[in-house]
Amino acid sequence: MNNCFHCGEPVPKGEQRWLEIDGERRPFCCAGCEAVSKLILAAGMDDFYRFRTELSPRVEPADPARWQAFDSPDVLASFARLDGGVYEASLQLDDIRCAACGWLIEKTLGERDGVCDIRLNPVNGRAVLRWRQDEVPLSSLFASLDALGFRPRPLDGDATEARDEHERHGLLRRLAVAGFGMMQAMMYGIAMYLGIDMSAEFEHFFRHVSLLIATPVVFYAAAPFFRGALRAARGRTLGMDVPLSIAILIAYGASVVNAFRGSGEVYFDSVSMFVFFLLIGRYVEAVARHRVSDSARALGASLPASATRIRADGESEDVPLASLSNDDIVLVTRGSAVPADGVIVEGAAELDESLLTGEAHGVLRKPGDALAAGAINLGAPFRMRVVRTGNDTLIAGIARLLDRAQASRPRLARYADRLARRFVAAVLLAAGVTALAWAYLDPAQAFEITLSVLIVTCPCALGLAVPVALTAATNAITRRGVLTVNSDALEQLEGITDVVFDKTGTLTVGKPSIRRILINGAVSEDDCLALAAGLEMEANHPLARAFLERAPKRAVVSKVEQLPGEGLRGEHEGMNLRLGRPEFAAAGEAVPGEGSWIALADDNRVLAWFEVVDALREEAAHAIAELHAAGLRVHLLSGDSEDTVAAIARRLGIRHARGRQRPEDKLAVIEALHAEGARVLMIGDGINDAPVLGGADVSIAMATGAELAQASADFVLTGSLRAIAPLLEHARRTRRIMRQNLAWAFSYNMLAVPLAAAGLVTPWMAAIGMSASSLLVTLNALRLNRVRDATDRDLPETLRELRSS
Amino acid sequence: MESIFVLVPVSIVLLAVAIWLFFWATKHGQFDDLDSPAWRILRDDAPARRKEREHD
Repeated sequence: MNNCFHCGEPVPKGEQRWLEIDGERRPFCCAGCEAVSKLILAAGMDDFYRFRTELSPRVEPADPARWQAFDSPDVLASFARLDGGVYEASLQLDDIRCAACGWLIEKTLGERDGVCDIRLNPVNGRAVLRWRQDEVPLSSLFASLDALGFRPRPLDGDATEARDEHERHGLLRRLAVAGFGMMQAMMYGIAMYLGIDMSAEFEHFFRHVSLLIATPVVFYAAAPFFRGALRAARGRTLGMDVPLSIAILIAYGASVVNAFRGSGEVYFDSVSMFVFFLLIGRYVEAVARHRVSDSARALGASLPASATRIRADGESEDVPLASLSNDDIVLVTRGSAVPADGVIVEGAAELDESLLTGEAHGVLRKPGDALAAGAINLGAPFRMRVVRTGNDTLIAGIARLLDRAQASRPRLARYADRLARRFVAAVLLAAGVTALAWAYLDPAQAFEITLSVLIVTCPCALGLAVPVALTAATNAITRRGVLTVNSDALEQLEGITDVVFDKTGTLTVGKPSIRRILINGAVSEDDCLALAAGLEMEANHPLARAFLERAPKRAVVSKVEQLPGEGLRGEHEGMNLRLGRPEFAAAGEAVPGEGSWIALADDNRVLAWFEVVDALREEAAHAIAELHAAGLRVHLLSGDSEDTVAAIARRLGIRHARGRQRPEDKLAVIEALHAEGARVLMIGDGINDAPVLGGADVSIAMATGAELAQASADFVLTGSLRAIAPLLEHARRTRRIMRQNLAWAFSYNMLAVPLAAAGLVTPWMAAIGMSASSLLVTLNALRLNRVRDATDRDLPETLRELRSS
Repeated sequence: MESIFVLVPVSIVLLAVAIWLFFWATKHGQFDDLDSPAWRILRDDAPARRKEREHD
């Protein structure tokens, strides 16, 4: 069968759309995709198809009028900043799949008159657009983006994101001050250590210059450590920042005194180096942490960009989401998302609330019923009154929950923190004892040795060992297409013995199609299809699409009624039609064969049987073979008939398969496995599986599932199923590296303390030793950032081309 | 050796300039996205160059 060159979906029968690209005739599935391709070619950007690593989203015909609301100055002011005639706004773009999409957007928009600049981060789909509103209205830019298939949504100053960026920039600036300061101070320091032809005058000069350099390093660059120490002191606990701050301050203080006195040691270079290395650790940790929370935010953003408001005079107008306020009356059209929490005022609504409840079946709501933002209208248009908007909505609350889950420290990291805290107490005690002992033995050396003990034993490595490893690992698996929702789960992944798969939407693509049609003679095949399509016209589940795509024409069917879990009922020319499960539409009749069948029947008999197949994901067999190779038991549990499940299990080589499983049954199977002492990883689409996912030791939800189910799973799989085996391997490596790190940090400190206390380590050696130890731990953890066994398959096309040439 | 008394202050001024430049770059988002610029260089004119090679 032909697939659309742009979006990869099958081209419906009879659709004749062709374009010549790269010297070949390419098919298209719809006018939208064809238009986008034409646009891309006309702009001379045929490279897009060569560079993209993923298929593009299917394009629904765009309506430029819907963006007009964004041109009003009030609305612009709500999310854009005006600076000298140029507006700047942050946008979230949907469906950014790969770097080539970013390239396409930057090319198309960047070359428009009036656009100063558009920068897009393909990793999170965020773009910063700067344009002149008087030369090119924002609505036309938005319409172009929409026409390309990337729906834009303005971001009004996301507080957490701004905070993250602020933190990152602050750390970078401090890092620069400390880094440059360190280089300079070291240069003077080396001259002083080597003491080449150093007259007293020079030495005096160098000391004061070093003081000048080290002062901003201590008071600007090292400020976060002092703040941390103060916070710890106020909370009456001991943080790692406490001994750090004490060491920095006394080393700096003593050096200042000595510099002015003109005798004794100065440690300006050691202090600068110490601060610089500490900041590197902080920066690496912050970047890794922010990257993880970025992906969480992308999950949370699911509201539409604009809403249709009904004015008092009865006219409707499109307004951006941000300018909706309470008590506005809003029209929700078919297929669009409810823009705010509210109450239905007119019309009955059929809603897909899977976002909130994980329940995929449509639910009916009457006037007066409450609605939650984010639900999709499956039925006729209805009007609602807005009750809560923006950050007050239920969905925003859920997004915050997810964010909070990201912010909470994983158990292992908390454990390491507690350990470090006790260690800090021990360090301070050791430094005190050392100071007293040396004051008694040799007062001249007491200060320097105490300083060495303080610096050398700083448990930074201990504090970094776990969090850096976790964030690096999280990053790496995110790049493989696995988002981490619960960071403790990475630790749990080790020791998994059994992997349980759901079928629909997990091992299969979740897009059913009709393979065979059996008619019993009374009505022709085309007419049966037309009747079925007529019944499914209003339905919105995947099966309906299969019928609508297959049917050559549609019969007019009235009084269509949906019976969740059963099928559909309707009337056509006096015939009462039923379409659905055999038990519902063809009770008492024998199903024609193995597989999944749907029956179409009138009052007396079955008119036709449709065999529905859901294609397996192409990588499923590979993925399962990899799991078997890793020594895991693989199970398949599905709600489908035993025969279908057995057939699929045979094809995939799964030995343990069960059909006809309701969620309770699946949960029972998992509990039975637990009773045998197994540890279970469950992979499901997350819709019907939410409780089952919760019952497993670790759970992975497919990104196609409902969003709340994603929140209840530990990981969300956005890429290929083949990411699972490497994920397990990665979890093992993460554990190994964390153990190495903890072991190193401990043994280093155990060795360094006695040496320093014995007076064998000078402060600069201590600073190098401690920093090297922290750096070693950080770099060891960053090894996890490398994605192992990256096959050529995963490489973007460009790189593959480069390699082969 | 007296030149040290001039050179060291000069180096400090250069240091201040370097730090100022770095602050400026941070403020203008030069370090915000370190991933996509690496891609950009691969993308732009790759096919044109390939054609040239074919002619050679």
